[in-house]
Amino acid sequence: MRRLHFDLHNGTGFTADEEGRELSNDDDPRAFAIRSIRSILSEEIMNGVIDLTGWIDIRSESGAQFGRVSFSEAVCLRLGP
Amino acid sequence: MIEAHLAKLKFRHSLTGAEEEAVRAIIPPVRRVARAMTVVHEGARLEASTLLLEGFMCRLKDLAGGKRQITQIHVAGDFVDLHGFTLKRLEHDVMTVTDCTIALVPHEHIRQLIEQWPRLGRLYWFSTNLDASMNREWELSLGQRSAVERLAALFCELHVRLQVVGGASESFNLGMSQSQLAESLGMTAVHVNRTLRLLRDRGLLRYRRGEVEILDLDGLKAVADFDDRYLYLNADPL
Repeated sequence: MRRLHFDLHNGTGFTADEEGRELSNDDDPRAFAIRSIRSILSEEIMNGVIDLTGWIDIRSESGAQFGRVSFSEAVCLRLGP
Repeated sequence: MIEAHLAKLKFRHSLTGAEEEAVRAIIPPVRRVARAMTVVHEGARLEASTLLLEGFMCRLKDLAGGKRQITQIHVAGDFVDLHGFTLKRLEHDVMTVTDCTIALVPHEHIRQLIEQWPRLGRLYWFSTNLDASMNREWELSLGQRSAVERLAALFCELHVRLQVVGGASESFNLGMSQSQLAESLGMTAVHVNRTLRLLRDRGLLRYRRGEVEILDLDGLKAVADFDDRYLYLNADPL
């Protein structure tokens, strides 16, 4: 198990992940971030907003950066012909 | 130790001295259980029901692939799996959220109690009906409330339920991680974190590592459109 922090930057501002998430070594942190982004987007779209300008920074407890997942990576947006 | 349970019973219905003694008589010695322990396993044959006397517990169901839904949070005084008295095997697990004090009440004691004291049988029937009412409210939240409304409703409900058993306070240690809140509310932990931040920014609630601090109860109720009628605080006599 490892504890990773998923700091969120989006249209509502910055939300630091102070608590962190326990992930097993088999869990993919990027997949976890993508699920999280989709959860947030699914609610925002109910208010008529699709804001893909946000991102999640993934870091370890020691502060080492694991990467960044942008909101636009979490969905496939089709706007028609 | 049993006071929280008696307080829950007596908040809604009077108990005679003899009825109270009859309830006390079926409670075996209490035991301590550490946090995050499964007390009732799905499908296991049950011969006793779990009375929670201190701490928080939850009911939960798991799906393949690691997905989990927490379907109820229990506070001190709750007969967590009284429905196990008739069902005998549950389709869900029961686990501790925090360190807990519990009593495992043998089903045979419950059977004798409700046969000798039919009115107590009706009160415990009421108790399982109340659980069902809270589950319906849970469904309402999951199906219709937004994330911020869902969180607000949960904390409003817990505040009332703690008040009923004498643990009323604007601050309490729920002991749940944000991941467990997420499993309760059909969200992800990151989404929960963001939503808690919105509640904090609005001056309604602080949540830090399981510690709940309600800053503005009326404001929280307004956000959730919280109506406590489903908790039957003014129950008719039985």
